[in-house]
Amino acid sequence: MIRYCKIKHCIIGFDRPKICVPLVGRSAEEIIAQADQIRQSQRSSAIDMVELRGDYLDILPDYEVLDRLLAKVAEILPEKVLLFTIRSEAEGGEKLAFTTPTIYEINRHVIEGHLADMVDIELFSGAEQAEEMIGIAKEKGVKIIMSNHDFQTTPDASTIVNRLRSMQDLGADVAKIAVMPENKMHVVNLLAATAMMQEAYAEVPVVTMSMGKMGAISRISGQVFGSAITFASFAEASAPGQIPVDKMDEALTLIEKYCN
Amino acid sequence: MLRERKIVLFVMGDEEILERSRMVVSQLALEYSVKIVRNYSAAYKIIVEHQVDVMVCGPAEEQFHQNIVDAYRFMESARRLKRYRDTPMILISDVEDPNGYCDRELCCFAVIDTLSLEHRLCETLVQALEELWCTSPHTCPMLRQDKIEARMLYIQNQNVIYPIQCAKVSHILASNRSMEVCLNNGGKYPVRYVTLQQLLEAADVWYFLQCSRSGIINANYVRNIDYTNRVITMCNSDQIAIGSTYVRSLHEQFPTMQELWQRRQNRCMFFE
Repeated sequence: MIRYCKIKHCIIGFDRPKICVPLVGRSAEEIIAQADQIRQSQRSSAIDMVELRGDYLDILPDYEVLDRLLAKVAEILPEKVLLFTIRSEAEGGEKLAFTTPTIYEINRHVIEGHLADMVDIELFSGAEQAEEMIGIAKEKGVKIIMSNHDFQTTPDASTIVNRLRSMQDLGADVAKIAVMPENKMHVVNLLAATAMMQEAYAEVPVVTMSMGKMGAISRISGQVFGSAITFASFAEASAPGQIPVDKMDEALTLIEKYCN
Repeated sequence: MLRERKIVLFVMGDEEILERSRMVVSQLALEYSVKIVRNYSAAYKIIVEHQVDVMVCGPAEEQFHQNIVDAYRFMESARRLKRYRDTPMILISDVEDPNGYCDRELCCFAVIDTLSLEHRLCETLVQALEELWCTSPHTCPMLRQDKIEARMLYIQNQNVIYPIQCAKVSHILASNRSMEVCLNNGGKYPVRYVTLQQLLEAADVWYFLQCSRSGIINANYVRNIDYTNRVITMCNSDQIAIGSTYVRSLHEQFPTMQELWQRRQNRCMFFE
């Protein structure tokens, strides 16, 4: 049973949850400036991964600029795992101002060029496309994180588990789900589903989070319940409820020391 | 929450086919959870989010009977998911399949043409469901290896699901409108809106025995049975009353030492 995903020096699913910081900006310059800030930051060693949010970028359809940007970020942060994500509008991403190339085409371009270490694919983008993309990614040595986001509510635990199982079945290297809680019980539901998945089905690292302030507890308790990555904010948060990276590092250390 | 009912998914966009299947669907709905969708994108969402046990795939909404491409694509997608590799899929189609694509690639349980829908759908579904219960190692309750679904009870209390291993349950007692699931380690979980019978069916384990109208015991945790005073003492020292109508069945399960000795004697005599 494989529950680890190794990229560079980072073993996702092993030890404490890996901290991922989003790089959010409209232009390439903004992204590069943020990457520089991360490199120079005192807390840089606590950050394991950076997520470049493609849907915020204005230059996204321009492959040449995008290639250069991804290469530059990888150059500035050579030890961090670079995750490339284009979140669709349906799952809480920014609305794209263009129709071609499609998200699928851009992701495919990034995978084929091995421009990022990991690429995010949405579960509901379709099984056929996902399988094709995963096939190419495996050839090129790029890892796939398959994700699903529900910004409205939290489905029941069995639905969450089944969604994660579907991602795993399609061949994802990491399965991720983010949900929005409407009450405290929804947060408990997500944690129960995470533990259930971890105990019974998981063959790949699982990433779960409950968004918003109410769900912030799920971001720091990954080591206890079985979530392998946690998203923290550095300059700007990409989702509601993200905790600043320095506080997150402290919280994870505390959990690691006393709750495990 | 108890073990979920088996789910049968119908993808039927065609009004006429749906109308002709209505009788079967309504009968099925008495025992199974039936989901009907009109198109394959909705169907895909369902199979991703649930554990569907049987799928019936017909022409999608706003399509000709002959256009079954969406159904093929959907079935291929479903087969890609590990948990649906052996799930029975019934295809309703008039399209000729000389190369046996449905059999070889999609591993269809059956292909039914629309002309014989009324006659064959019911029969085929019964076969598929029987197979589901009896032969498939993934779904047969006795053989299931699946840790979560095999011998666990899901107890929902105020929107939170507590998974409980049946083997750890000492006894279950009902009082008024609620029930209490007591674990061997002393833990207790209140349950509401279910009957003891439903719980027994959901647990589906040999060692749960009903000892009164309001009590179930786990045979593995019985320390002593006092038939005179009609009281069972569990390993955790809890005492449970035996209902007068259940004494006999319990007696068969737990013979007294004297009876055991007597039976052994009889057996010896028989062999001699």
